[in-house]
Amino acid sequence: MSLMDEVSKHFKKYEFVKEIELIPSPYLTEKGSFANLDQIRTMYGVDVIALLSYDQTQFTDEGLASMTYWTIIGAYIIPGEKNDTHTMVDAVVYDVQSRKMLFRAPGISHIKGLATPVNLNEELRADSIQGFKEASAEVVKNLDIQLDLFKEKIKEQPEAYKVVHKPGYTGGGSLDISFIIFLLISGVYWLLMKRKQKA
Amino acid sequence: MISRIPTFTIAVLALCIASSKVDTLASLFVYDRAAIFRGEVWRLVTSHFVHFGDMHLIYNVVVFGVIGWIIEHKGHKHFKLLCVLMACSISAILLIFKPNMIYFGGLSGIVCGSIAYCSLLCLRESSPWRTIAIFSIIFLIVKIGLETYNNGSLLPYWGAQDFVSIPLSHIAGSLTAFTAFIALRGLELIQNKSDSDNALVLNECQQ
Repeated sequence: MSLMDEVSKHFKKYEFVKEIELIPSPYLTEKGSFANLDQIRTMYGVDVIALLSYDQTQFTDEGLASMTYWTIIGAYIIPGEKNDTHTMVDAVVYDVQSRKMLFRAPGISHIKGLATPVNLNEELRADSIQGFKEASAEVVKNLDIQLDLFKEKIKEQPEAYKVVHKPGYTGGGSLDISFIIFLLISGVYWLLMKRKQKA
Repeated sequence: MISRIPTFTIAVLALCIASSKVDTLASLFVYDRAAIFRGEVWRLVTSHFVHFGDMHLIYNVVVFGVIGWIIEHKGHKHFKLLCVLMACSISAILLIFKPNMIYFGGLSGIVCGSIAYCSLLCLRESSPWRTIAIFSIIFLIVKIGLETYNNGSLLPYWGAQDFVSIPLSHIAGSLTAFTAFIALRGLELIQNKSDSDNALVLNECQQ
């Protein structure tokens, strides 16, 4: 849930995102497929669903330094355990109604660490948390990239995607900073030319 | 000197600020599709004074202030009429082409039209106005083209944007200004021709 919360916070900033609902895993049934997603869509009133999945594997091997364990003290102070933590977090965004995958973004982390046999479990837990943090940060970064690519894709294939605003939206006739920049440049140019003409 | 004070521009700016800050005025003026169909047709014109946030108001008001002041300072005629025409045409086009849009507000369509009108008028003047006018027209065409392609503002919007940006209002405003310019220029030419014909007849009579 904390990973979902982190991802959702990042996407609330977009003006085309009206609302984000965090749906816990128990609502998803095994082999539920789109029928299950349709139920969630009806229940929560969502148009697009982002499915987050994760996988983490940890390996521990003993290095040459583990020979010092024979001294008993070495088992306490020499980190001879080599830990590898592989984490993958994957986000897939689906349009539930059209059953179309819009885009996906992976986040991968690979952490290498050393530990003594005494603090092995402690180090593994720390690596596990760090692995999730790194992978989630990468997912958020990659989702941004994929979202930009998706926007480009919509423009390139207007026949495949139709952008519609929800009924009842508010429209605004708005200018941006480019108009003010243009006015400033024109003003400076006008002043320079006037001075030149006077001279 | 008194005639050079841009009274109309100041009045529009005052209305924009008042409509955006006083909630009663905003609800009375805003483009409300259902209310317009109920007969509250003044909203077709007044909706352009309403803005949905400080940055929305600032961007529109600053640019309209400068353009309106230039047009009025140069003593170009028909600016008031053009603004009313643009307001009506933009709202009418939105009514037809944006049926899902319930509310609308913002002066930018009128601002774009005013820039187009001012640039077309300044094309007849000498440099530096002529050069600025040419670049303004190019800028406007490129900007509106990219906005339409992006379906939104070209540059990132500073501050909260609680509305969907509608580039169609810019197209409608600019096209109305262009059509009005052509129509007024045509009328001027007809007027000049009939004046010169009258002068010729008068000369012939005197002879």
